[in-house]
Order: sequence, then C-alpha cells, then structure tokens
Amino acid sequence: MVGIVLVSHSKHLAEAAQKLALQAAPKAQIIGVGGAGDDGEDFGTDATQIMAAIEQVYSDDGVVIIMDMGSALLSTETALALLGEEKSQNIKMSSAPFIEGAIAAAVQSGINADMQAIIAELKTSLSPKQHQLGDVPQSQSDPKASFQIPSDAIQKTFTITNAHGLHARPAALFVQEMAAFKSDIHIAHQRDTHDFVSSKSLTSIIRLNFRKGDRLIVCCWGEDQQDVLARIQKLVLEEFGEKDPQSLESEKEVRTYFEMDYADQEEETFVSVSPGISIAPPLCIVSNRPVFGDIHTENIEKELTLFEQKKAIVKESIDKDIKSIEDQEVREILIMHSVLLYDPDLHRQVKDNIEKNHYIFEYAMWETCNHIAEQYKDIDNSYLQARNEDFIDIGKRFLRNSERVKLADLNFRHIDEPKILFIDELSAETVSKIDTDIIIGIVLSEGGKESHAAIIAKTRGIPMILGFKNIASVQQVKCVVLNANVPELIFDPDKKELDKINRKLQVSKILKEEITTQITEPVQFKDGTQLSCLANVGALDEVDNILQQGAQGIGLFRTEFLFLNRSNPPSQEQQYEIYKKTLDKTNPHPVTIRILDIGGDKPISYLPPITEENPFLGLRGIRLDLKYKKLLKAQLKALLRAAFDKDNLRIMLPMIVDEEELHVFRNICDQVSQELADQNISHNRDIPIGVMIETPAAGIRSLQLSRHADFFSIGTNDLTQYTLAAERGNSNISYLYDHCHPAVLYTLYSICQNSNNIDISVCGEMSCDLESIPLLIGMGIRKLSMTPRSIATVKYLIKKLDIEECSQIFHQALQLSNAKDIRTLVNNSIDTVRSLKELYI
Amino acid sequence: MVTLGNFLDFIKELSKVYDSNAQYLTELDSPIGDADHGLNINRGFKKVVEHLETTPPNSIDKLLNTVAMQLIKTVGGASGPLYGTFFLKAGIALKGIESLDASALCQLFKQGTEGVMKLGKAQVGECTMIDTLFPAVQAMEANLNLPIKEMLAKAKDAAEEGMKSTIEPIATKGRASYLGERSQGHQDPGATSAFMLIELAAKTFE
Repeated sequence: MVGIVLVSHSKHLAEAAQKLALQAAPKAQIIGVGGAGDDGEDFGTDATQIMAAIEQVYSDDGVVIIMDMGSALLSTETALALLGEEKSQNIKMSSAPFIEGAIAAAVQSGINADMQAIIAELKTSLSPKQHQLGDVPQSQSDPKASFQIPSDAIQKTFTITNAHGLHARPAALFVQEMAAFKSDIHIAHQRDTHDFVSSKSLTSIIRLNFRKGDRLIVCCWGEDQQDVLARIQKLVLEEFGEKDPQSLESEKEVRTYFEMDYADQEEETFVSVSPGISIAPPLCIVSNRPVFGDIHTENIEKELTLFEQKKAIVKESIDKDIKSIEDQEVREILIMHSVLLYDPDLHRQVKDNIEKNHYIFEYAMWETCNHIAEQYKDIDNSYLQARNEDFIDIGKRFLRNSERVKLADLNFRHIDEPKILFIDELSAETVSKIDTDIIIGIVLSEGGKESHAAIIAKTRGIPMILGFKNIASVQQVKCVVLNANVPELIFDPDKKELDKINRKLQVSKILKEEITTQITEPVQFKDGTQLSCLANVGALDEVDNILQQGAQGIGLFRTEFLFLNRSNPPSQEQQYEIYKKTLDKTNPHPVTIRILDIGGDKPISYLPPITEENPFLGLRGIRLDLKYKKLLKAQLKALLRAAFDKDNLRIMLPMIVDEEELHVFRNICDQVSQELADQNISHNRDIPIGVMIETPAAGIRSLQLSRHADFFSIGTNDLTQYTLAAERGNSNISYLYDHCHPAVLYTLYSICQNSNNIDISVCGEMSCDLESIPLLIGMGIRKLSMTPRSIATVKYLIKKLDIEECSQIFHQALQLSNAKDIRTLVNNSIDTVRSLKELYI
Repeated sequence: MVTLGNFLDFIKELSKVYDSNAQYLTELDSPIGDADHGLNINRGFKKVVEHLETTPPNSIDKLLNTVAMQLIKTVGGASGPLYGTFFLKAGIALKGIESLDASALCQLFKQGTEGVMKLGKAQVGECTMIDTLFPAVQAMEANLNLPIKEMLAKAKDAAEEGMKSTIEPIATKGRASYLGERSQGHQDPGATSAFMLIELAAKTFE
C-alpha cells in the first residue's frame, strides 16, 4: 500500500488533516507531521520528523508527500536527502492543495491504488472546487473520459437523496466500495452524459457535484456488473452511510412488513406518446446536450454585443421557420419562442451571467434557459412542467453555428436508410423537421407525455416512446423493433421473431385498409337491427369532418368551450351562430347538445367563485345551471332559436340525480319559449330533452326518469367513477377504475331494462373500447357516441359481431367477479377484438 | 589552520552574534516575511550550543553534522533546512579532515553554498542568502594563495557587497517574493544572517 505523509507548519493542522482523511478512508496508510521546537508547538517544519514519518509509512510501493507550503517543501526535500537515494526514489512530492490532496490521496491509498494513479488523482484534486466556483483557469480543460463503452455494458440511473448531495465523505465511501469490484465502472451526472468519470477518481466524482435529487448514471461492464448495480442501489438507499441508522431500520421494517421491493424503485417504464410499429437499425445519440470548451471571457463589452447580434439571428431563423412550417401546432410553439426571446427578464438574467460571471454569451444563455427550465420542472402541473423544454429549445438555438460549443448533429442528411432514433431529449422543432422516411421511430430517455415533441410526433405519425434510459447500450444493436402500441422494444430479434412481427405488420396493413374502405357504410346486423355510431365533439371545427369519418350524427356536443377561458359570458347571439352552424352542417343527422357542464374544478371567472372540498360531489352540471338561471336561459334561447325549422336538435342535461331536476328544467324551457314567443322571435319549442345517466342515483331511478325524459345518454366515465368510488386517473387504484367492472355492467344492464324503450346511447370512453363493445351490444345498446377517429374501427368490429353471441357473452360476464376476467372472456370469445387490439384506435 | 577547538568556539560565538542580532534580523523580516527569521535562527543556534556542550564531537565533520541536524530539527522556518543543508553538505565535504587550511575552508563554504542553492533552487540576484554566500565563495576561490585571514577578509567584502545588493532588486524567491515590488528597498534577512556568519569567520579564523 502506498503511504501518504502530510507535512504542515502546524502540528495540529497536520494531525487534523490526517484525521479528516482517515474519516473518508479509514484503511488509508496516512500520517500527518508538522510543527517545530521541542514539543512541536511552534509553527514550522522539521526535516528529521518528516523523515521519521516517512519511515513509518514507507514500503516498496512508495510514499506520496503532500505539503502545505514554503519551508515545508524545503524540509521535505532535506528529509529526502537524509533518507538517501535508494528510498527517496520511491517517494513523490505532490503539488496538490493540502486538504483536498490529503483526502484524495487517502481514498486512493485506501483502495490500494498504485503510485501513478495517486499522482494522477492528485493532479486534478483542485478541480472540483474550481468548477464549483466557476474559477477554471483558461488553459485548463477537463480531461474528459476517452473510453469506448462496450456493447455488453449495462447502465442504470439512480437518484441521490443525501441532504447535502455527494460531498467528499459519501463520495469517498463510493470510491472505496467500487474498488472491490472487477468491473469497469464509470459514472456521469445527468446534466452532461458525455462526461463519464471513473469510479476510482474521487476528485472527478466531486467535480460532478451531485446535489440532492440529482440523477447519477452508472455505466459498468465486467463479470460482476450486476453486483455493482446492486451495491450502488444499496449505497443510494442508505444514503452512502449518511442515513440515520434508526430511520434506515424502521424503513426496512416497513418494507419487510408490506413486502415492498425498493430495488425495483427505479425500474424503467416506457410510455408511448405516438403509436405505431417500426423496424430499423438504431441511431444512437447518447446526449443531445451541448458540450462547452472554455466558458469564460474577458471582453464583456464584446460578449454583450455578440449576444445582441446572435439574438437578431435567432429571431430571424425562428421567423423563417414560422413561415415555412405548415403544421399549425409547431407554428404556434415557434411564435411563442419568438416572444420569449425578447422577454426582458430572460435578457436581464443572461446579461447578469455575462457581466458577473464573465461567461461567453452562449453559456450565459444556456445557463439561464436551464435555470428557468428547472423552475418549470418543479411546477406541480404536467402541462407547465412540459414547457421547460421550450426554454431548452430556445437556449439551443443560441448554440448553433458556434465554434465555442459542440452540439449533436441532428440533420440526418448523411443517413441513407431508415433508422430508429435513440436520444436523450428532442425539441419539438427538430421533430417537426425530421425526414420521416429516414427517422421512422423515436425513443427518448427524457421528456413528458405532454411535451410539444410528443404532440408533433403524433401528428406526423412517427412512433415514439419515452423513458428508455440505457441509450448507450443500444449502440451495438443492429436491429430494433419499436412497437409503440404496446409499448415495447425488441433488440436484435431472431429471424423467427422478425418474421412474426413482419407478418403482424402485414396483417395490420390489410386490416387498416379494410377499415378505411367501410368507413361511411351503415352498420346493420344479420337480423336487420341497425346500430348507430355517433361523434363526440367539443369544438366547432371538429364538426366539419365527422360525416366523412363515418359518424351518423353528433351524440354529444359539449358546450363548455363556449364558456371557458373568457372574462364574460358568451352572448345569446354568439351561441346561436355556433349552434345553428352545427345543426346545419350535420342535418339531417341528429345533434345532441349538452347544456353547460362544469363545476368547482374548472372555475369560470364571471361566476361567483366556488370553493368546495370535493368539487366532483359539489355544485356542478345541472345543479350549477339551475343556480345561475340567467346563464342557462341565454343558452336555451340560443338553442331553441337555432333549431327553428329543423328537427335534428336534442338537448341533454348533465349530472341528473332525479326527475325533480328534469321538471324544473322543463319549466324554465317553457318560460324561455314563452319569452321568445312574446318577442315574436322564431324558434322551435318542440325539442326532445334527455338526461345523462352518470350518477348511480340516475341509474337507480332510471325507471322513473324514463317516464319524463325523451332519451338517455349514459356517461360511462363518471358513472364508473361514482359507482366504484374510484377516481379516474388515480394510479393507486387504477386497477379498480374500469367500466368493465361487473357492478358497472350490472348498472348499465338495469338502465337498459328500465328504460321503457326510450332511446339510449352510450357516450363515454366505453363506447370505443373494443373489449366493451360486444358487452354493450349484448345488453341491448344500439347507439354509441365516441371520438370521431375511433368510429371506423368500431364500425368494423360491430359488423363482425353477432347479437346473439354478444348477449351470451354479456350474461356470462355478469357472473364474473372482476373487470380483468371479463376482459379476458371477451378477448377469448371474439377473434376480431384480438386482432384489432394489435392496431391502435 | 582552523582546528576542531577553533571551530567549536566559532559556533559558540556565532550563537552569541545571532542572539544579539535576533531583534534586528526579525525586524528585517517583518516588512517582507513573517517576522521570524531572527527568532528562528537564534533558537536553532541556542539548541546547537546546548547539544555541543552535552555531547562534544570529536571531529570537525561530526561537529558540522551536529550543527546541521540541530538546525533542521529546531529552526522550524525555511532557514532550518537551508542552514541545516549548508552545514550538512559542508560536513560531508570535510569528512576525515583534522584541521582546515585555506583550501579546506573554501571547500566548506563552497559545498555548503551549493547545497543551499540546490535545495532552494536559487541563483544569485534573487535576494536570498545566496547573494551573500556565492560572491564570498568566489572571492575565496580567487584568493586561495593568500593566508586564511586575508582570504576571508576578501570574502567578507564580497559578501557585504552581495548583501547590500539585495536592497535594490525585487525578490523572486522565498517569502519576500510574495511581496513582489514591495520587497524592493529591503535588505534580505537571510542575506544578512549569512553575512554575519562570514563576517565572524573572517574575524575568528586565521
């Protein structure tokens, strides 16, 4: 083991440094020596003492000496002279800073590193502090790792939970623990995945400056690589020995009691954001993050000028893109970017960064954008969180065509065969420009479901998934199957597997064609029974294409868009125009318009504020409509007037629990009609009025309601939620929220039985759920209203169904005790459901 | 000829010189160093004398070695290893020599000075004790044919001139170098203590 001697002018400083270093590396062979005079209490150094200290830790492996300054060097040299040539040739004096050097050397000594490794480590021991303080000497660039990651390397990401991050002590423990393994181990900080450092280098690890919540990427290869990851997992969990043992113990107890496995905490979960299947070789870009050279400048005035010039260039390039890009979505994003560009706050922060930190403008801009992006990431709202990417995008524009920073090449012009792109993150703008003949699939490690990139991939039809962390490991893969429908990734499939996938793709293609050709045909069963597929719409422009998409009318027209996001209520006239247009366009097919359906979860600024603990059980739907009669009357007047001379309007009431509400509504309707008549305004007073069945109460009272309502429309989303007392989207109970639950099915069945043969339709998500459709038909439903793009597939399925068989399956389903078994039953019974499921809707 | 006894007296006398000049040397060190040169060197030579009285050496080279080790051990600051090395190397050069003639005395100073230059990586003109020692050695070498007393008188003159030369330039080595231009105008304390050594040698040896 290489010995370490610390030489200081102060005996106490030397001894304290020794103690500090031993705390970081208890196994180190290290000794501190210092002071002058008889008792060593005077400041100074004594070459004879130094000599004695060296002899104490001396072995043929050598000794490294770290001194504080000045005469300590002279005394040490004198000591070496006293020791003689033979020994002193095995001894190296290091220029490392005293304390940093002491700890770095001790850690290396503790893991039995050789002299050369220790000296190398000591050379960089000042760099963590320099980096943290932004005080990196001009000529000093980081020694970035230059190693090739082999194809069998494994990679995993961990989140640091230590309150003070990975500072010297925990980092030292990490280095020591990793030294026990045979594998090559390298780690990187998520902010710069180019910068992998050896697990043996304490100073490099400290330089990466892991803070609490930061993610640490481990890449390792070797015979015990799995053990390495398991050990790191444990270290992270125990916060590198810093977690209070008591809390660690109680945590362990809880874990054992509830049989929770924390080891899988960080398991990768893919999220599909754009469906489809692609097969191609991978194109791996481990990091799309910029790599800077020297980030400092002395000429601040010049830098500020350069910043302004670049801003103008960036503005010009965004404007050019706005003109040339056809996609409305992307254009709007770019317009937002061009506004952000002149945000005074952003400008001030960049200027500050240049003036105070002497940063080059590229780095100043990048730092600022990242800083703002981080703030967005902390917002507890998935939409706003995803906006952090916009700042990264703008920041990157400033880095392009600069010689002072390296950016990954995302042009793909040099590529001549289709590829699946594996990358850490991607801007919306890049996705919008990608040649879809070359990049036929995208796999990201970062990004949100609601990011612009995801939205655009979907509109451009590029299959895309998120959450795949191990990009580096894909570099050697020759063929990737990306199935974003499942989602799933298959690497280097064998021929059999590949044939199977190709066959599947072939079948899907044929199926898709079949589905498209029958799109506008009516649906009729063998016994002559007709079935209607209608559209759910929530905005005026959605009305335009519904007939081409195969809809036989509008089963649910949501009017909320007219009332939300404005400071005053819409006028009767405004509403009239929109209702009239909708009725005209859809004529002669029916249009079911639901009156305003909102509650405390979506407050309207021009109504008194509603503060409720549980808005979903509060003032919402018809309850709110009946409270604010003026608002309701204006909507009703607009509806009755729009329906003049037409008979395709039906009015639907949301959130009904009993017939009383229906009576009150009908009275208001009569009043409104009377008022219109008094003013000689032409209108239609004879409109069918129906109720939404979406509360258990309405289901139970369906017999009574059917005597007073003209039709039922079953809102299965809310009905499922209220029946099962399980909130939609709550991941803790997502297994429970399922409209195929027998309780929901039975409720639906009893509604059908009690309906006195009035018209019933289903307008929740259940109506386009392939596994539910045979059940709905089996219980007697003949009208389904759904999102227009699902109509073609649903129609295709229904045409393959047999009413008698559906009825049998449904009654079998009622005997089962949970939704999962019911779904399995449908899948096993009907081939078409299975084959269509492989497609996406 | 200089005998063991002469040399022992010389060291004891030198200790007295440093004792009475401790304050002065420290004052010289105050504006440019850490104000410890006089104190350190005085402490060192006191220990040397104490040690010589309890365990008297039986040869000149042993005497020089004792002086060296005691200085290294007790001085603390940079002058410890520097003066220590001076006497250490001088001792090695004089191994087995009973009494010193002009040539041997010259060797003593020459080897000692070279040892200090090597350890301190210092050259003439950098405002250190070398500015005193180096010209003194050169003067001795040039006047080896003269009697010891005259040779050392020449050395003393050269040393004095060397010492005074440290007043003008900017120090580039040693503690004073941290002051940069502020070290200008100060006589270097190391050069001064070295001069005291040569001056005493010139006065004592014959």
